[in-house]
Amino acid sequence: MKFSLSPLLSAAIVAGLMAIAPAVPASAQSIGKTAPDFVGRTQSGDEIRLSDLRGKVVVLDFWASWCGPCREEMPFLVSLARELKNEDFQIVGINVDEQTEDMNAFLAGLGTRPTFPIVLDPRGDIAANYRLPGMPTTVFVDRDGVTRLAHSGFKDKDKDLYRDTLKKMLAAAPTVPPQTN
Amino acid sequence: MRKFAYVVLVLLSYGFSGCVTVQPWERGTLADPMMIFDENPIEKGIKEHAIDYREGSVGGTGAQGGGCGCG
Repeated sequence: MKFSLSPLLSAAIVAGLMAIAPAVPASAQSIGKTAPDFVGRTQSGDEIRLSDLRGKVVVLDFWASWCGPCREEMPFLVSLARELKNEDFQIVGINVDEQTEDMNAFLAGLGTRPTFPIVLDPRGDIAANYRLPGMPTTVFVDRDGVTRLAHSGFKDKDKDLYRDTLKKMLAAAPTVPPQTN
Repeated sequence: MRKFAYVVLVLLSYGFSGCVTVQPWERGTLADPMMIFDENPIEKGIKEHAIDYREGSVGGTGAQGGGCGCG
């Protein structure tokens, strides 16, 4: 059986392209679109459903104990929650640690316990749904359930971005009346 | 027949590539300090900092560490 070079080369190129295709980074959560709904449970067993928070500004913080920038971000979010405690917003932490003990050790080392709920996502189902581009990723969802900002990573300068974004979202009125149960 | 052989070859090549993307939320193991290819990570960090300062450049020295995955 005689093979000519060009078909083999073509095959190799196609195979190569197929092999690297999954390596293309996942895109950030779509801005301006409804944030994917999810139901998660906290360590204490409380159920959190994103759609139940419709009418509030929601900050979803995807984090893990092994994530370096999360060590900077979490204390800031705790202080932000305290700073804006009278505002109508909710931070929901979503922890992607495989072992809950790792999360607990991380939180114990913080020195300050988060006042907001932390949903456990050890299999990364919620994270996959949001197609996180990196860790941590913080998603700002407005009162209508629409994603307004999805920010990956955390540096000191991001504090102002978070605070300003949150204040603008809190100042904006919902376009859709909040659901009542 | 030959075309079929090429198609099979391509599919097999894809199967043998073994490439997977470890998603950002799955990098717990990769972020472990044990995954740093260096005897002394602290010393390595100091050296890299010195190089960054001297050369005016940052990065390109590996991906392990905080697991941020945000560049």
